[in-house]
Amino acid sequence: MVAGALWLLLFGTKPGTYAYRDGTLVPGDFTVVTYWEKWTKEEAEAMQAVCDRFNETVGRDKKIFVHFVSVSQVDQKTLIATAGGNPPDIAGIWGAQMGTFSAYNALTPLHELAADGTITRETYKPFIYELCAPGGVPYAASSTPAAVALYWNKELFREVGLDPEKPPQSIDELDAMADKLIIQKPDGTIVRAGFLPNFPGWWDYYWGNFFGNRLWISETDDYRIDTPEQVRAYTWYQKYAIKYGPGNVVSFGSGFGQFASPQNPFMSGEVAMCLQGPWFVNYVQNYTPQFAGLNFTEVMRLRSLGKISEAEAETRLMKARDLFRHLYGASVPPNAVGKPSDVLIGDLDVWAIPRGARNVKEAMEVIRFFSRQDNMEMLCRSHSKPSPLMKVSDEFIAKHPNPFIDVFETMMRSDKMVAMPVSANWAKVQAEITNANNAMWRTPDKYPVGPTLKETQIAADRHLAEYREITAIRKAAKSGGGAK
Amino acid sequence: MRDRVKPREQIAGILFALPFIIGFLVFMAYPLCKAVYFSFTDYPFLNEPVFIGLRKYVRMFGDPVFWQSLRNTIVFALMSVPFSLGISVLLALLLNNKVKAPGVWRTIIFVPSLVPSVASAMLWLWLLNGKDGLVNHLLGTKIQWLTSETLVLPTLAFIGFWGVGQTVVIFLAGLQDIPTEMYEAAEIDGANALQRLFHVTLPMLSPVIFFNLVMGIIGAWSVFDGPYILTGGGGTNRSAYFYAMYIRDAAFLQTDVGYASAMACVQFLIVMTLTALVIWSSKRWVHYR
Amino acid sequence: MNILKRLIIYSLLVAVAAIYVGPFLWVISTSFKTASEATENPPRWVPVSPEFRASTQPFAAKLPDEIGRRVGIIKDNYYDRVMNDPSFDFALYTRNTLIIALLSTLGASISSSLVAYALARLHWRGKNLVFGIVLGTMMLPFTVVMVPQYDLFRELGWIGSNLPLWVPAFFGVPFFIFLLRQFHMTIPNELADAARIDGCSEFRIWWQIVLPLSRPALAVVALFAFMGAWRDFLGPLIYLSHRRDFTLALALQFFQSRSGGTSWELLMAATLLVIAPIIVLFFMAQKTFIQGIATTGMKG
Repeated sequence: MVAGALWLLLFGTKPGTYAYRDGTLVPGDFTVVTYWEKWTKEEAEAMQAVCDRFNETVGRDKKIFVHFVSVSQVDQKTLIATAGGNPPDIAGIWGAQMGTFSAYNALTPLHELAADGTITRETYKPFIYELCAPGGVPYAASSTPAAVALYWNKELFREVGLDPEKPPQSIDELDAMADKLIIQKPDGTIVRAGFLPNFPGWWDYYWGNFFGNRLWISETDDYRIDTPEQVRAYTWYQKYAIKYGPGNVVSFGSGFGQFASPQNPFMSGEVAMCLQGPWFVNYVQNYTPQFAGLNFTEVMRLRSLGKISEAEAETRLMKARDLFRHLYGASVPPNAVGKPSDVLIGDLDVWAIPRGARNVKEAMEVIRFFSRQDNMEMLCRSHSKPSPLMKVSDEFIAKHPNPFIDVFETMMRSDKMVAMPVSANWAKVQAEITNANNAMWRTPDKYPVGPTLKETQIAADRHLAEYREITAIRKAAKSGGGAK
Repeated sequence: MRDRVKPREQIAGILFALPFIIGFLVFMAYPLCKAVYFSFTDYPFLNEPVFIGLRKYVRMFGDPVFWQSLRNTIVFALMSVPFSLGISVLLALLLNNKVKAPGVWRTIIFVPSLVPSVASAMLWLWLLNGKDGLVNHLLGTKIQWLTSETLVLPTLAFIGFWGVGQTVVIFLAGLQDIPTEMYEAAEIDGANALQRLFHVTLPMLSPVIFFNLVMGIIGAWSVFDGPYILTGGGGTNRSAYFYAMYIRDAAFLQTDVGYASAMACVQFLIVMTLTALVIWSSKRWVHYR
Repeated sequence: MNILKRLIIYSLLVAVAAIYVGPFLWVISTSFKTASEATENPPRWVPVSPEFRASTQPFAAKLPDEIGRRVGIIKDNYYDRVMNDPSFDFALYTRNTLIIALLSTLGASISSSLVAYALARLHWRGKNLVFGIVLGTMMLPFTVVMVPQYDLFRELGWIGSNLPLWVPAFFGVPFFIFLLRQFHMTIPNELADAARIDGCSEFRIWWQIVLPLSRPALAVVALFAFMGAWRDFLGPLIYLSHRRDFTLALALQFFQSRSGGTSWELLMAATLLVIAPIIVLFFMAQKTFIQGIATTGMKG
């Protein structure tokens, strides 16, 4: 038994070696760039394909090998590893984490990538550059971005006599259409809803912006939670719960199946309109029976396995696009301020080089490759997202799985697009806001809008005050010689 | 006995315990001290810790979320520990009988504790669905088990019954350890089944009950995965937001390791006090041979 | 046992088993479905494809086709998309997990019993202090100790290898130390005293008297140590960097997605593949718990 254990010890603890896709080993004098990414499954495979491309072209010339690791809880692993002094060379983090990472100097500045034109105001769409280069210093390169659109179910529109090609242009129109679309039983049980502001609820903190508020003031790192615009916004938000009966909406909401399932209320026809991102077309295709055989991820998989030809894949893709356009629509979400294009929200993922990474120059080389137009488009297309670059090929738009990609692209070129706050406090403040929103939605009588927002503002301000106090102490400690 | 510590036993004692002592000093003592130190610093994970004294503790005592998570955890523990312990003992007693294919029954009861929480959470979400879940269907009600602020904690405590496999196994091992002569002697004395249960089985089992009770108390404080998924991150208005969840969120979401460490130290003190109480009381009801 | 008692016991067993077998059947059932069947609401325990429902043939006639379809789906889920998934090297991950689990089990069982005996039966200064520390280490949440421990392992140069996952087991695991202490304390003192009078060393007492008598408890410890290592997710997540070193539990999350697109049917299939070995192990090992009845005849 002891001998066996020893054998295992020697045999089992040998570190892994690196190899190309075809199995040949990476030469020992190559620099290995470790890249940790949060995507899994098909999205990870798409990224692996880009890495393979690099390894087999530029990588071989410049003696660099990218080792791609897909870990769904990468933010946790990256935090620990960076804090522990053992970070990956490239970390694929959420845009929302930029605030924390950059505030605490946890990222290596990417001046070389700005100098060669990879991360510039001209290369990227406006809001993307703002997020990647806070304060003018480039800290990250954009990977796949997204924007929020209003999707609607054209069949349901036709059913109640609404023009399926005319989405609502304002909040009032949205409300009117929702009222036309809702079906409630005499006892109040909701059978179908036109629109529910808390579904899916991922951007609920930004409803105030749709009513003219500016939630986060970047100049002072402040949050405007208790303002007249916010009160108007959340009164509107809560109105839906009150209008249909809070018990009914909660009960209706609890019946929502999983997001990624045929029971997603939008896909099952239980909700006629909702906010969603560009990737949504993938989910709709995967879980709606009409798209069997046509769904984009399946088609890609079959093509990569060689089971169908390129031409066949393209035919199916076009068919899927047409079918989607026939069944659903997507447009710029309406707001209570003016034209729909006046208020836009977006999101993005980034590639960053954590502080303390060992192979910075090589990592930048890899990121440069990822950000090349052809590679970026290949990646964004397989994620069903738009491209972060200003320059977009016609083919990208024409052959994109989302037939409404032009809507997303146009939104993202606008100056009015806003991403989430790039602030070290955002996580704490967001937790307060989400908690308040849930309370206002589920129990309106206990949590009226005005007082609840006031309380939330107080809670957020408390977090901010503490942060400022501690930042001051940290600064004093640093300049007073010796951080500890 | 206290004065007569034989040198041979003294040496043997320390030698035997040496692996743990060394392991503790190397792998735990340093991190433990660091953790205590962090609780007096501001340590945003990605930057060095900076000493700020008691500020994190002050913030903690004024933080409504801290008190709520503490309250939730204690209430939950008070419900789930006795419940799970009771079920485990009953199941172990049931399984201890001479039946055909004992392995099959035991394995069936044990398997749910192996199923990852993600998988069983999915099952529970369906069963407890407020609109058309099986539970509501059977009871004829439309109760929102998991989103109700008042019902969510009892519901979560009840759900624990599927995860008692490990505890049952430990009880089973303890039951097997009771010599049959004791039962025979009790029968000769005229004791019926119930009396044998209370005068032979449970007392003989008390060391194991003690173990599972202490572990149950400690475990209730690290409750995390299942409830997190089931309540969508802490329940309506944080009604199912547990202490361990808050520590995790503080460390990784809010990147405030100092605060998480402070909370951890408080947890340590509380659990240690509870355990000391249990140990002190154990002199009364735990029988070793 | 009389008939009535037998009847009651068996009916209770059947009722309990019916409830407890639920999750396992759920995992299997979901793993036999397609993506859309897996997320149907309300879910079915026996998956039925749309073609089957749409067909107007009589039940017996359309059943063979359905079975053929179902077998195809099962093969697709398990074989094509889990075991042969290019990014999920099942055989390799099993080997990695097995190595770590065996080493942990070996280390945990031996060292924990040693320490437990010292705490249970020997009298020495410092015993209660050490016992207190054993309990205390379990009370500090792992989250908080995680970062400094990572630091420590980094200084030792162990990050990226699997050493942090099994070496600490050789120094005693508090949970098992506590458990074994409780069991060791139920062994009558007279046996050990008799052996001491005969001139046995404490080590021999432990090895030849205490260990054999603690077989049920040791079996439990070895079993739990193995299962714990097999299913550990957090440790491998933090310490392993190379996909070639991943364990099964870590690889499972490859089928989950933070952005809401978990492939439930694949996750369940993979889960089943991961927990099946330890279910089998448990089934085989639990016989050892019965041994106690045979050995207790020797006591007193």
